[in-house]
Amino acid sequence: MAEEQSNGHKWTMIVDADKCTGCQACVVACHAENNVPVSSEDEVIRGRAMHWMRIERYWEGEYPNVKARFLPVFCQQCGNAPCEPVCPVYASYHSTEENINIQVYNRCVGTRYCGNNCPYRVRIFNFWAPRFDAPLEQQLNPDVTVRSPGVMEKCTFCIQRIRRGREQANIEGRPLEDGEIIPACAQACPTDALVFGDKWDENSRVAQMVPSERQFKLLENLGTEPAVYYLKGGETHVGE
Amino acid sequence: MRRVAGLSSRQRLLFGGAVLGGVAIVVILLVIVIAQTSAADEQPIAFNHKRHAENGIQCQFCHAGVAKGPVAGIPSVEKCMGCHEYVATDSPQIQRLHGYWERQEPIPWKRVNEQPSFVYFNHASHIAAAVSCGACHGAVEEMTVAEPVVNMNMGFCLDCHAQQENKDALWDCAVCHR
Amino acid sequence: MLESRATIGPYWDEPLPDDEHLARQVEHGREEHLMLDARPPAELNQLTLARMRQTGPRFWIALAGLGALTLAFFIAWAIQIVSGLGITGLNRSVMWGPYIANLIYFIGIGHAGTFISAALRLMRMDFRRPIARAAETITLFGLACAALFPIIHVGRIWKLFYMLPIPNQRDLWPNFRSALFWDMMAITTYLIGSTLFMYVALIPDLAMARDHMTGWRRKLYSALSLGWRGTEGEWHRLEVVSNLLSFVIIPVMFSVHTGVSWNLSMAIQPGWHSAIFGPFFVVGALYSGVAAVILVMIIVRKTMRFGYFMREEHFNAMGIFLLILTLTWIYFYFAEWITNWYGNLPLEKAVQAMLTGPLAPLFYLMLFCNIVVPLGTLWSRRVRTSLPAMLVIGILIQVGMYIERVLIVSGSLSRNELPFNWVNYTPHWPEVTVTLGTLAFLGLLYMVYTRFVPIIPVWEVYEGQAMQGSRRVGRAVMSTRTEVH
Repeated sequence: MAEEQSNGHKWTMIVDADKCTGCQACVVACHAENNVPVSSEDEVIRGRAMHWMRIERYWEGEYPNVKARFLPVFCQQCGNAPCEPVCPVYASYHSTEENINIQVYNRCVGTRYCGNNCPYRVRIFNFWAPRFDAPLEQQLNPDVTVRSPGVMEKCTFCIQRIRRGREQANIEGRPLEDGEIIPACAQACPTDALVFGDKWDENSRVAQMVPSERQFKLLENLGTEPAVYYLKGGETHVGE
Repeated sequence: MRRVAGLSSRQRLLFGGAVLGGVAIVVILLVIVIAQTSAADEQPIAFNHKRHAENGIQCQFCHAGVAKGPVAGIPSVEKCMGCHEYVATDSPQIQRLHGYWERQEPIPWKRVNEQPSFVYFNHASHIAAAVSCGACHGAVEEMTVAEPVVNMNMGFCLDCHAQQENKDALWDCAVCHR
Repeated sequence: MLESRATIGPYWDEPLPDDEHLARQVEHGREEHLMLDARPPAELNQLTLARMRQTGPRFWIALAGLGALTLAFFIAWAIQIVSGLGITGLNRSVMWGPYIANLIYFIGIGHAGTFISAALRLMRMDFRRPIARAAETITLFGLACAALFPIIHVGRIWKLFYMLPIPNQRDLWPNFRSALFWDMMAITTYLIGSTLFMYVALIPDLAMARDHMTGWRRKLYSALSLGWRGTEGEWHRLEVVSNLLSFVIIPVMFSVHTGVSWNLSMAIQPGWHSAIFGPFFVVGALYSGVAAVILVMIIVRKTMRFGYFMREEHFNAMGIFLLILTLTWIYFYFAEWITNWYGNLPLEKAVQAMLTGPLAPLFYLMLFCNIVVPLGTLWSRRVRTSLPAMLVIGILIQVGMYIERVLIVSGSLSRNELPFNWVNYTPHWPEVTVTLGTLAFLGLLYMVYTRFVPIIPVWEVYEGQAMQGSRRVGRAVMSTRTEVH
């Protein structure tokens, strides 16, 4: 599926793996911004950790020459998403306006088909009713739905921030500026490893970073056309 | 009647039971529908929209947030007192307002229009698109106590969105659901 | 070998030929073949109806046991709805577990019923006659149980109507591109089709029951038999409709299990994404289905004492059918396995390593049940006609095919593209309770059904017998078949 430029925006994230220190600030910021419940230890052991964003850590080499590799993984907002055609109710669908993948929580019936068909396994199922231990319930974001039990959820590129930014620009009758919309993870990243923007805006930071030599896409061979680009140098790695 | 008369007593009993059951179900449904549609909650102060509109007060004077952000807003007690410290102070309703003011309490208004938690509505966008307040809220200036006039469900929203120029952009689920 | 085949004494004895040799041949033919051992219709009717009304203490004990398990199933389901799917063992990578495996399994055991009935009818195979309805019934209830599983499986059962194409003011429709939607359509079509198929063949027997019963049963059967009188025109129409439905139901039958397999193979999950899955699942379904029919035949024959109707020839024929399906299934499984193994793609290898690694006990048990036992034993006619042996083989194949489905669904899912998300799956009590409970529910429905409906299609048996006879040709006695169509 060739990418066609339309009137909307092509929201894109750049993940500079060379800059990532694996500090997990983005994960915490995402939980806070998107009302993602904190899973208990038992749930994590059972393989149900609820993170829209996770830092996958891989070890390379044998002791004592061990290198840690960090790979922040979240919804890749595929241009050719495997999760979309399988949903029987269109709860997972492609927004032609934002050119990202959207999960409509109130439409979801919880067949979990999308979760099976996501090669990145970034779709999270609400096995339980969401629980926020005090005082976390005091900081729920009113702009984001608290998901009911039995629905799938996933990273939305902070759609609430995108929509709010676009609506505000619309009200003020001006075009969107690059950097005006920043998802919580990118905002929280201390090393600026996450950069967000509209790839169709030629002057945006992401548009200029995408052609980088270090650029690759996760599981590119599957042809999912992710909107998340990873940057990684040949020899640089964390741990040296 | 001939048919009913031809039935045995047991059949008649069954028939009667079925009719009674049907009537009971209809009555219960009616009660539920009426309970759902009528504004049963009484406001703490019988605020009269009509009176204020007649005196030339614009909607946005009190609901000041409407053009600036998602929420139109309910005026603070302070705002009410801005006029009512002097205006109509002898009315019993205004005395109630004074009571809240003196006790330094917010007025526990009952919500009139409510959307489910997964629906996000932005007032400012609609004001910017020149949608009049009455398009959704009805003729509030004719009402004494504000009441919902339309059923603000998805069909109602989409009816209007479908007529706009940028129909496709407004048809996106993420416009309202996030 | 089979035990005594009839409990009711012979109504009339055809005089045997004087020649001792020929007499033995005739006697043997009668013993072997139901079609040659004709009895007057009245006696067949009585035999069937009497069993229908017998409920001994064992019946009630079995009913209570199955009822208790069924109750446990519904309670477990209710708890799951209230507390959320968290009580199951499912996790973020293995989002489909035994519930989907059960869907496949129950559709599978329901598969052979209609196949035996419709395909064998079209091929004029007489051995189907006494067992057709017992087989169709398992289709009906197997499908009904299977249809429960998508409902049990989803997270928000109260929103399930979103999957139905209901016109609405929001312009929202189900996603016609989703394999789940196709599957739902196929199952619904098959359920309606096979119910109709069964009902049409049931009408003359219901009318027969009506004419022999009194009280509420008479009223029930009068209503259900739609005023059947047995005129020439009615029989003719029944024949036409049965043949038509037989032709129509076979492609639908294929579509159902193909649809189910596409739920898996349309996904890009390694271990699932395989073009062979459609026919492979159809064969797998027939395999477990025929084994299930044999189990039901044994149980019905034993508990309802239908030795007259279900004989050596039937078990032999079904055993041969099962052997053919064993070979076909092995062929498909081998083809699926060797292409993945030879292709050597890392992810397919990871899935295979999962099966031969952590899941090895289940995997080898499956191979033992599905390959070693049936392939090693079904060659022998002695085994095929021995009820205890067939009971054991049938149960083993059920176990093997169930494990196969679980391995495909959950085993594959526990391995995926990013090794960070590899996770193993263990079922928790809701899955176990629901699975066992549904099996019990199937048994319960079947048991109750056998007491309401003649489980032997008497008219079909009689029709078959009326067309058959023995004739002396030289020194041998041959069976002959009269074509009346």
